[in-house]
Amino acid sequence: MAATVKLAATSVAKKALMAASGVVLTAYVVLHLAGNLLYFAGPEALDAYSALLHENPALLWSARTVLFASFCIHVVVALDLSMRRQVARPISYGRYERAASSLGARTMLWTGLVLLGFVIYHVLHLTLGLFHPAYSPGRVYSNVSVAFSSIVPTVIYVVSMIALGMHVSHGALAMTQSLGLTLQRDRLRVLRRLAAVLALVVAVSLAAIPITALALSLLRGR
Amino acid sequence: MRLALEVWRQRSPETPGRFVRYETTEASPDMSLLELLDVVNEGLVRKGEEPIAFDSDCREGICGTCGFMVNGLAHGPLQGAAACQVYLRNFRDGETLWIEPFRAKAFPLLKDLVLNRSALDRIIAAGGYVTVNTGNAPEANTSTIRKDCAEQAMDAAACIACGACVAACPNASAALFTGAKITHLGNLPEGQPERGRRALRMVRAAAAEGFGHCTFAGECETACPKSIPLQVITQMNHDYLAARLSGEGRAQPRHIEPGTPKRHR
Repeated sequence: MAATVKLAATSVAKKALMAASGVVLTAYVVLHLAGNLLYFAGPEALDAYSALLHENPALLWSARTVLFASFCIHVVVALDLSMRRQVARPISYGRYERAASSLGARTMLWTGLVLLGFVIYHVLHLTLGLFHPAYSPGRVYSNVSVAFSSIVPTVIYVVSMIALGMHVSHGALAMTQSLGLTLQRDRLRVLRRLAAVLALVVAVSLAAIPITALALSLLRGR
Repeated sequence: MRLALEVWRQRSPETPGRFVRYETTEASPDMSLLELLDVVNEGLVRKGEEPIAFDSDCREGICGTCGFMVNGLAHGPLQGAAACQVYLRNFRDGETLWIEPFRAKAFPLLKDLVLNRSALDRIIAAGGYVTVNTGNAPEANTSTIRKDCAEQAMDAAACIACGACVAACPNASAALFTGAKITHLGNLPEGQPERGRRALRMVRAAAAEGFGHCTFAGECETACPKSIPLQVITQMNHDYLAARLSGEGRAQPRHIEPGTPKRHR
């Protein structure tokens, strides 16, 4: 117990917690993306994938527990650290320019808050079926198609996925460094690019699903 | 050259400060920022006003004494240069320069642009040293050090403790400074025995001084007049976490005062 108290004391340890939970969350996003891309394979494939996930409730709930714990750690430590910014610099600059920070790094807190809101909305929307006109458990494809037949949820999802891309573009790089993955300069540059590519792939692919669903429903309605 | 300055003036730590505008036509493109302040100060002294207080010593970028924010950038617009090495030819004629002290809770302001940066000294005192007596310079090549280790150690050892990394950091973190010393000593054979302990102590000292956390945005690397690479922070994280996970510093030897009566269990 004393060890955990001490571990929480320094910002390096807190950033390691952020990074470790970030690794779990990033891995989840990639898996979730891989599964969701079955949307493009048609209703049978997506519903079969959903049934597969629900086959073993013990496994499903342990995965959900790990994910929920990582999410909570990530959010709580992030809020704690961001509040310490004020403490570390009580008088802010009259003029202050960020010369080197990437767009993702500058907006980390804001994209994080967008994602916090989005995750809550997303679970209520497509896992529990609230704010959903015709939710039926297990029929994932039709749930998705109905959910994104209107503009508002589609816009919310697409904006959130842009935020996710920005968040991942910096997070995927920074988490390796917070965990102490020492690299030479050229390797670090490669990692920076890989993080950007991962962010782009994740954001574009995940945003493609609601956009496609909306487009299909508009075409069908015509 | 005509320049306007908006300089942070603050008489003492207690009184509130504000930006005061000064204009000068005596600036030459070959003057450094510090010489510009000298010229402005001469004018102020002639008028019987209080000159702008600022720190400086070597004025050739090797001592780390000078430093302030210029238009929101630590040490001004150039990379690899302290404020004393930034010449006015890097600014446009008629430009307004915003000159402001480095701001961090751990750097209490004394007057105008002068800070107390001894928090950095206390981080060094917590572990930025090698305890063994190294004696005279040894015979060359008696202990071989890989070329890239030596280069990394030298890059990190270039730190002049000016505090620009803290000033440029959006979180006022001293990670680049702390990481530089940890990388410098941790890459050399003399530094190995205390490597874990050093990382633990210096990181804790930085936290105790009230410096913020590192978000790896990279502002410090750009601001550093010695261009110390961001990788020193990763090295610090690595050494700190390795020491934490291996239980370094937890097992203290039990001290028994000689002459203490034997215990009966």
